[in-house]
Amino acid sequence: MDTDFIATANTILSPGARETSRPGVLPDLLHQTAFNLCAALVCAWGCPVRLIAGNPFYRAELARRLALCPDGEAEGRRPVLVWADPRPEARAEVADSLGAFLSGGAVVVLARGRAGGRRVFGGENAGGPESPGGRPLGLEEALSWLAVQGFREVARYGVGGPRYRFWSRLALLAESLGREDLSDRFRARARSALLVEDREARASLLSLAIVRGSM
Amino acid sequence: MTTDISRQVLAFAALRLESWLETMRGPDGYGGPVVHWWQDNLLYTGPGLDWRYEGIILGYLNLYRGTGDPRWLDRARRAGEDLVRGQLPSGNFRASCFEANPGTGGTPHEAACDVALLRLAQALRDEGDPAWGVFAEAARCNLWGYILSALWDEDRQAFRNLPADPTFVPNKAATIAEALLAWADLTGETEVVDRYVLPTLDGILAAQVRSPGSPLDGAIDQGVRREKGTGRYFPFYIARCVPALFRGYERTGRAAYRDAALAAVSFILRFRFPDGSFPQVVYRDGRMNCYPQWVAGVGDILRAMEEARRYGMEVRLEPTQAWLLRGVQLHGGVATAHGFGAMESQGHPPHRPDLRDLLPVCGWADKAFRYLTGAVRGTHYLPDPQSPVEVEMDCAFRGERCLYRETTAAIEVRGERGWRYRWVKGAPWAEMGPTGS
Repeated sequence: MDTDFIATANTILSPGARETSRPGVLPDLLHQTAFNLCAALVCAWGCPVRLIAGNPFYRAELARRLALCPDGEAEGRRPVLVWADPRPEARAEVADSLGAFLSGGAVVVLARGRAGGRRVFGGENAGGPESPGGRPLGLEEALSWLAVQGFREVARYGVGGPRYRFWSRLALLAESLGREDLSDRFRARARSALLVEDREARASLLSLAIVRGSM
Repeated sequence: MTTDISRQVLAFAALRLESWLETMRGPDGYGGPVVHWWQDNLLYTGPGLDWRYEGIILGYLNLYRGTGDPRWLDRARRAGEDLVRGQLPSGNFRASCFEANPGTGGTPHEAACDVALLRLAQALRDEGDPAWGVFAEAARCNLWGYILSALWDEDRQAFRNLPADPTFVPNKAATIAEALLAWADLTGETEVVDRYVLPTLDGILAAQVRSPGSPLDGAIDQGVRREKGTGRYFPFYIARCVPALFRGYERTGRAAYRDAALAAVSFILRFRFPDGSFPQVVYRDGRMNCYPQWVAGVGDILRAMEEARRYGMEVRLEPTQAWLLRGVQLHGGVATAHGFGAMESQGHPPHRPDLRDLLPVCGWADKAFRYLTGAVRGTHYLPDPQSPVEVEMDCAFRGERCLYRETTAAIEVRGERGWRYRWVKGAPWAEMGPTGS
């Protein structure tokens, strides 16, 4: 059950970075979905050649998944840069790498969506050597900056859109009223609305976008 | 008089299912998408070293015992080698979380793998094959490296659901008890029985409703946290508690374990529908959420029912055997469920099956495989199961009418305006297309 979603606070929690390496400590359903979708998109588009993540939790979870992608260089697959939990401080590093992706490559961005504003990814590590401090960039901010660098958006997905949050809240309410049967139905409705595209994606807690070089 | 479906019919279904399972093998093991009551995982499709290995390995051991044909023992060994190769230094198995894959440390999945490894080790040792020690050691590393060290709560004398979740989940704890009993059988070490198994079985008894005359009598709560049950009773999960209770009775002679197992099966039978199916969950107030109803998964319920019959309970297997066999598909795979499309409303399921209903999943099909293989005997005349290489079925996917197409090499779901989902068998990730709406 996706108990890590705190519907009343519109906030999501994740395991601390140190916990991610512990077996049996899983990301919440939102993050599982986002990480799996990110890896699936990257493998479908090409080959992950660079991962820049704003916190160790994202880096560990994504690196494990991206490592499963087939060996791209041997097959001539398109290079993909993954920029997860984008931070202002990482823009210089991303900018240095972008040249290799302008022609035929792609960048997959995983960031908080508009509804994920209160979320501070990897906040427990902010300021540490592994996790650059500073406010995480929302997806729109990251995409605007990438547009200036010559990359245009080609697809967008959201995880945890408005319908997901609505049904999750209702499930909690039903549970508190002793109607576990209704709670389970509402949870099922929430899960069926978990992954969204287009307009709903903008209002999600987490968002993913694929951008390609316009050269 | 009790009439069951003939063993030969069950045996033929088992061999057809085995052909399908072979198409789901990749370089590192059995893969494919997962659907479940708790959540689906259509994206990660790489090998899952989870409870699918329990039914697969024990099913192959059934085939070997039933026929004496060494190729089945080789296939059990091959599956065991997947687990050994995928074991981490911590003792955990890679991608052991089934619907939450590729996570690791999954429960009851890693314990289910241990049950399989230990029974495989026993079979190999009986054959004088020195390789048995490798599989026993892999199970030992997992049991002591993770399950006993991270999940056992000494103060509460109970297994946790997960390292950070103290909930006692009877079906998961029962699987751990089965693994520890298998360890005791293999090694003769009985300390684990006294120290871990008996308190676990006592915990299961404490989670059981004992209220003669009540429809819930015999039900086992899905989880207990701070002395409070969740009020949810899943026939499938209750069935998975039954073998451990019987094994506990056989080892200790404590009638309470046997009686609890029989009461659990009585509860399951009380809620069986005339077509042999079961509701997904019964709640403390007697309400039900019927859908999705497991199809392949009833293999584990049938096993529990057969065990109860051996202890003298009058059990008609035929309706549920027929329910399972109705799920066998042209290529030999078995449908996962009926009624996923009604999961949210719990009204009558739509005429067109949901993709999640007809999608065969290794971690559900293994339960059918384990049950069906129990019927195979060397004396049966069974023609070679020649399954079609291509299957097409109508389905609904994310609200759209689609065509499900499966070959030995791929699964693809197509809507009116293009593909919606596809997985090249053996690939670690599937592709999700745009929705049709």
